[in-house]
Amino acid sequence: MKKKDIHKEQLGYDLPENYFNTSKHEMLRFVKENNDKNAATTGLKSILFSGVIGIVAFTFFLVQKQQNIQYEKDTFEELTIESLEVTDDKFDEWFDANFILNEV
Amino acid sequence: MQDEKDIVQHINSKAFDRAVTAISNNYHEMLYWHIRKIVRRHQDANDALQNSYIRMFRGLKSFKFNSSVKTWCFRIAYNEAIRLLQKEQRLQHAENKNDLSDHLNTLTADPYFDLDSVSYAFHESLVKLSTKQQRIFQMKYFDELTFDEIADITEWNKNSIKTAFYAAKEKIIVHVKATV
Repeated sequence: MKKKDIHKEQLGYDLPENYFNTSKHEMLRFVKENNDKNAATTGLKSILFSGVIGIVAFTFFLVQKQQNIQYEKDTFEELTIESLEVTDDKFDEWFDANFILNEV
Repeated sequence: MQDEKDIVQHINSKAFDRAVTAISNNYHEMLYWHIRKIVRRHQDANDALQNSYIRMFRGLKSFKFNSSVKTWCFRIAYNEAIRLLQKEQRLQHAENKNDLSDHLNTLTADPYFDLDSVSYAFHESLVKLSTKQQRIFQMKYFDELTFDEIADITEWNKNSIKTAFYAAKEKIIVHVKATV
């Protein structure tokens, strides 16, 4: 006796007409579509991931640059205020030490 | 056995599309019935079978040949059926209720259940079994799986499977004889 008949006769389990043939093809098609979709999603994900990494790196670079500018500005302001305490005769010496020699 | 060899060949040559098609050609009907007896309703069985195919396709790439392809496919189908029951919160319900009317109510809600052809005595005797006994009996009697295969699929102990099957068979025979 076929499995279909056994299940119907003993358990009452019925099926839509021609179910096994149609469902087999439908399911295999679904698997293929799902796989294609997954491949496309994976490609899109890697592009998005690269984009996010690029943005993070650029932001990091900008922040670093901004911090350097701020540091230079703060140092210059500190020296400018400090220079007020330096007498005129010692100014050239002080200037060389702090502005020129420090840069080297 | 030749069919299994063909599938293995497709897996080894990484032709996963062909492997799934070969699995479908060999086991589609068996897997459907295996799931149907766990979830009972046709639509649920159809959904679980479809999900099983997706899992098989993904899993084939890392298939380690620790079991036969057939057992592996049945294990996926079994897990998918249990997952579906858990998702619908019917597992606990199904495991706790040993009532024939409740069992038949679940079945008659399905348009693909033929009430007229049902053997009430058989259903009643099935319902009286524990869930584990029901599953083991159905896998052995309807799906014609070996004890080793059932053990691989369910991850239950082989000896306890044997004991449960013979106890279930005895209970069914006694009940059907007493009823008919």
